[in-house]
Amino acid sequence: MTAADFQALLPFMCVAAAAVIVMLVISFYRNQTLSAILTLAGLLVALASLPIAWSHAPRAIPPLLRVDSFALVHLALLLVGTVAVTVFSQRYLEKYRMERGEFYILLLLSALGALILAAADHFVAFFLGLELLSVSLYVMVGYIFVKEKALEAAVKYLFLAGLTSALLLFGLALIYAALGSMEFSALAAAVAGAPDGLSPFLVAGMLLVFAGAAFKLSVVPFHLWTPDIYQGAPAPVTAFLATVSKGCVVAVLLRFFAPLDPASQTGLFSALAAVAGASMIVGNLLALLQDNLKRILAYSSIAHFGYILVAFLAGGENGPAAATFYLVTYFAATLIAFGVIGYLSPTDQEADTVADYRGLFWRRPGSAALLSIAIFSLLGLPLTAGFMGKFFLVAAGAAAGLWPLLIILTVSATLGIFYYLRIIIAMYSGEGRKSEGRTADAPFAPTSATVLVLLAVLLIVIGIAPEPLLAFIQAATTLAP
Amino acid sequence: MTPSATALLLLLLPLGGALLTALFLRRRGEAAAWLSVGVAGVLLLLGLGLIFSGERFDRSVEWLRFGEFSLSLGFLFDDLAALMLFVVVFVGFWIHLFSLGYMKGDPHKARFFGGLSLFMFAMIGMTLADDLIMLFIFWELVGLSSYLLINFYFHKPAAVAASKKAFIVNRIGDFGFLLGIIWAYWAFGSINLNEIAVIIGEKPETIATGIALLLFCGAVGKSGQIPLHVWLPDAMEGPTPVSALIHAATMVAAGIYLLCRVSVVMTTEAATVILWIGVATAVYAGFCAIAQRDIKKILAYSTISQLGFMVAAFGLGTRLALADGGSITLGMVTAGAAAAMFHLTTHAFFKALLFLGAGSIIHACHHEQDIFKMGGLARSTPLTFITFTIGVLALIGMPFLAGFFSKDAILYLAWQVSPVAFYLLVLGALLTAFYMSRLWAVAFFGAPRSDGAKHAHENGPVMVVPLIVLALFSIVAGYDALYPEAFAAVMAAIPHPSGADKTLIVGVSVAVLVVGVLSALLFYRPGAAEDALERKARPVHRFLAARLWFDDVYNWYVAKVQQRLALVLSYLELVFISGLLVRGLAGFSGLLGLGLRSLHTGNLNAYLYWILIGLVLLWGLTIGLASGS
Repeated sequence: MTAADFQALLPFMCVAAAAVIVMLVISFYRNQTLSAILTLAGLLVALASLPIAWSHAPRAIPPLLRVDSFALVHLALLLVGTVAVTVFSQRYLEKYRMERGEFYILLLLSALGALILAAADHFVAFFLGLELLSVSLYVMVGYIFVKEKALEAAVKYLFLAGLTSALLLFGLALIYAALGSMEFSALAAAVAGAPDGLSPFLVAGMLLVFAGAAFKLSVVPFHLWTPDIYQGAPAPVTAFLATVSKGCVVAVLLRFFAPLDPASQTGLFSALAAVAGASMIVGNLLALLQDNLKRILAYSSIAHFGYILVAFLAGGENGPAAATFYLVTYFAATLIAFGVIGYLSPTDQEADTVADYRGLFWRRPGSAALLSIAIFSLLGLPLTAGFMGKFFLVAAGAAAGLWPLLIILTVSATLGIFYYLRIIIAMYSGEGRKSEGRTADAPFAPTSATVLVLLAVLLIVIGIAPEPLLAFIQAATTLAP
Repeated sequence: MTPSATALLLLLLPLGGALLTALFLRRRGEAAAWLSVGVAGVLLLLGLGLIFSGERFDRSVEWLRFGEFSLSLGFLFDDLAALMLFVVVFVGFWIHLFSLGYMKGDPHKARFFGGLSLFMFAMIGMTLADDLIMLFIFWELVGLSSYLLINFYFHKPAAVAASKKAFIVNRIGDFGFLLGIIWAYWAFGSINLNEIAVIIGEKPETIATGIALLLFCGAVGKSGQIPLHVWLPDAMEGPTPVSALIHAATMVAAGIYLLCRVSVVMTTEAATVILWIGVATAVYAGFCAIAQRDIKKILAYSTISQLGFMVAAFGLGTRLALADGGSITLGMVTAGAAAAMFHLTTHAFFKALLFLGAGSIIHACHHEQDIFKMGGLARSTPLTFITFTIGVLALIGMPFLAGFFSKDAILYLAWQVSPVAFYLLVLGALLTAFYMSRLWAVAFFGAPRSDGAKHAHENGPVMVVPLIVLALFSIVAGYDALYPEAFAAVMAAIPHPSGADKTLIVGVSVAVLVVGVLSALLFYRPGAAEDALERKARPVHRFLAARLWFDDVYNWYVAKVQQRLALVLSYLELVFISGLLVRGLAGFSGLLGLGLRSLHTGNLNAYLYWILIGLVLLWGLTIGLASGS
């Protein structure tokens, strides 16, 4: 490995080093705040090293990784998401009397897995990243083991993720059997060399790999775990599950499927279109029936990744950019939502039913305003980032002529009003008496407040002037086929 | 200052006002109120300056570009926009002023005035928008601010329900609007009206018809046309100045403005549909108004009816313009659009006047809204009585007042295009005269019939001055000779009957007026304490009060169809979760047990099986479709 390779890998090494440092420090001095600060420092240094890595991009680190502008954009997004989760976790964990510092080791390792996925150029890296991400997540979901629901969620997640990992591995074996190689580029070559159709082995393998990824994205029919685990996991972990652990999978899928031409792969692409359509419909319809904020967000996230799959299917020049842009808007809004939920949760139970938020605006106007901005963005109201995200998805889909999917998108997104509006109405009705909802009274810590406000400002700014970010993402995410 | 900078300032001022209020003045109602009224005053001055400077422009900058799809932001300021802007800033200012008095002492005044400023921002943005997407964005913002203001008395469950209904019903219309925009992009590759106008001739007419009707869906929602009118009467739960500004004068008229803006995509078929929906709404809402007791609901149905007249006028005029191989070119104001905008303008004056008058009465009677519990107000609130009477006369088409001229223009169009539409609209006019005379006679005369009405007294000058100004405009706004040169393009296109037609139309309107007023006065007797129709013809009253069961059908649909669809889907999930497919019938008892427990205790085994089943399904789909193609 050359010095340039090292520099290109700096972000990964910073995160890995931070995990080791936190672990070493904990063995001498157990302090939650210190661990959190070290974690934050590691992540920020990793973020700061991105420009250095950028100067060497695109650079293949054979055979596993490929650090190019596409990967770096996603790296930045994942790192920012992890920073936000770290900040939220610090305050959340303080409420529990237990050893808390170790949480950050898991968080860092999980994040490292996500980063590897975003830069993966080889199926081994794909699998390695996914496992690193998942194994740490099992523990994080059940970290507050005094809560029964968290434990139940952790066990469920462990079993289901285990099954899908096995499927994924089997898919990799099939692909290896068909290609004799595990590099993404070999797949591209095989596709280019067989315009009439791929071997059934290869198609089956790709489908299994997609299933493994789809489980993480929680799209139909691999979505069943989502509401249970969203609800059971601690709010900051749910934030991580909903953003970082899904975003990195979108990145790897985009890269993995980039060489495929939709026209010659009708079977595979029709199956994916069915998944996208079903996710949008099921997610939005089932969210209607929920009374729990975390479950509403879980079902709506199923729908959101259905939307992203539309851009993914559109492919071409604009598909990856639209998907990445949508991820940015979804990250910001989702992080705010779960950050606020985590903040308002008292120790004994999460504040996650809609009734808990009744009259929130009159008790805690700041939290209510933040949550409103996030929800308006998720709903796709004009002048918020969410609207722009949907707009680009529709534009990319329209350019690729995916009209049936676009109609499903528009119709099902309209349903979103019904359940998102319930939350808004609950927050602004009521008189503001303490007894109305079960939320914590503690004021925001300055760090969390800063992160939340920055994210909210981002949503508004992107909603008004998306051009700079979009241009940047478009330039960076053009994937060479 | 360049004209486009003025336009930008017009847009940003109210936004700034709303933001300032939201950030700093939430608990300082008085300051928020003065800020908002001050902003409205500056808007009026700037707006008038822009309108009368004679500058007309179309300026846009590219907002963002995505692939070959680009979106621009810009202003299109022609005579049509100038007229709409005049209505918005002029009526808007007087209603702001009136609100100062009306909302006095309300603890949540800041929220009210912040909402009004937000509304002004959205409405001005919509007026000036130069392409469909920008129009749609502001269209949605107008809906949002309307939602916030209907919800102002949020401690009243009825207000919360009404705001929700308004938002949802409007979104249904907007959904059609959005599909229309998407289809336009699909068919024409552009959403810019100038470009569409060029391409549209090359496309089959059915496409244009489809797009025109989808865009019309937006207008149906916002302008309360059948079948999406149900939200507007309920929206009266908001404060009365809001009803006057948003739900009578400006926002609900936005649908008419939208139609005029997209005249170029209209076809004869689309115009026919638009025309009949407008006619049906005009007559239907007139019948509904007869059976209402709440003064604001009567006015709300009257608004729906008048909006029906405007929509019908647009449809009629478009048919006329397209007849005999005619075509509509960009920037052309058809007779229909001109008549609709003319009626929109006069209606904005007298309906805002009527609503403010109603607000003044309600305020004076200590929030009594039932006209049969009022009475004697002619004596106790004389100024309100006089101005309200002028509003009534203008609305029912009293010769030489504003409504007379604008209604005659519409009737004349109908006479030229379709005799059936003409007779139905005449019936609508007759109903208008009837229900307004009923309202007027019952509320203002006789002895006071409730404590509130007994202690009624005239309001202060802040509330009375706007009434007088609007009354003045309700008198003079019908004379198009008085309109300045600035609106020439619209004014010149208004159809005026002449010769024998003129005699006929004027004769019919006067006859209808006399018959309507006299029959109402004879039937209800001034100062009646109870509804004569309810007493003498109960089945008829009950039928009219049921308003053709629109609300009942919608409630039934939401409760029985939509919710059930979601439930069925959730049940299907449950079936799979409980493993019915995997474990056979043995699972069925488990399913029942699971149904009783809460949903979230999902069965892990079943989740695992379901993942495998899903995979097999996907595999089947992939192989099946690959071999099929």
